[in-house]
Amino acid sequence: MNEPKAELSCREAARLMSLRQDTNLTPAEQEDLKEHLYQCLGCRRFEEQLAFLRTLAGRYARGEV
Amino acid sequence: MAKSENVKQSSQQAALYAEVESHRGYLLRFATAKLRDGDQAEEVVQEALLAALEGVGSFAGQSSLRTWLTSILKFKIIDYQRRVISDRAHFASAPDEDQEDPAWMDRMFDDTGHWAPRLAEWTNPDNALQQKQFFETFERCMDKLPKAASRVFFKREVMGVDTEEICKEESITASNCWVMLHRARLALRECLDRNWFQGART
Repeated sequence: MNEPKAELSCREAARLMSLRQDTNLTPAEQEDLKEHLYQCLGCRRFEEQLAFLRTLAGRYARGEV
Repeated sequence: MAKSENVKQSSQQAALYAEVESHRGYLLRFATAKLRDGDQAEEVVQEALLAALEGVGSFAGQSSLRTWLTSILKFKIIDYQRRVISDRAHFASAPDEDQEDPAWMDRMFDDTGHWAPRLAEWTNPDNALQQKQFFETFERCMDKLPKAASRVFFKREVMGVDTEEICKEESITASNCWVMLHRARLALRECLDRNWFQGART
């Protein structure tokens, strides 16, 4: 029997997206996150902005402006 | 050598000095992240810059100047750490971050855990990457973070160190490290939003 899935909050989704930059998520976490992102525009923006932050830090390290 | 050649050479040298000097702020942050001590960091950066200017002939221009300077600095830092390795006081562990989320994080979300307000889109982020001012804003935002968080973020994202090594260096647990990184990213995101992208939206 499938248990009703507790939906991820944005707060929790944001934590997982950040964690994903540093380590692997469990399959369940990946699944929950994917589902949340599908329906949440704010979190999709957070995802983009996190990726941008990493690009920014890399550029900064090379001093390319 | 003709006189004009001399003049040309010395003005080239002056330009190079200025160019090298313009990376001092970055190098200081790098050294501070490694050594945790502003005074020690300044000392090491000074050594590295002097070494760089002496050996500038060996800069082949294959990597960026900053990358080259950073590699010299890394050697100087290792040197320095060897010299002070017996003095363990410098490496006293950072206090464990409180696992409870701070109040500023509570303010980013409503009671049900949704963004409040919903995050706005960043327009033209690639354009921002072309602007010196944007990197200055980024530096100011990093400086506003709590010291330990700023150091951990710098190591992870700028220096590209993996979390396992950061944990060891900082004497913190992995979960603590992830909490610190997440908070740092949230805070930086908000700081960049407020001080750069919001202005571009209005």
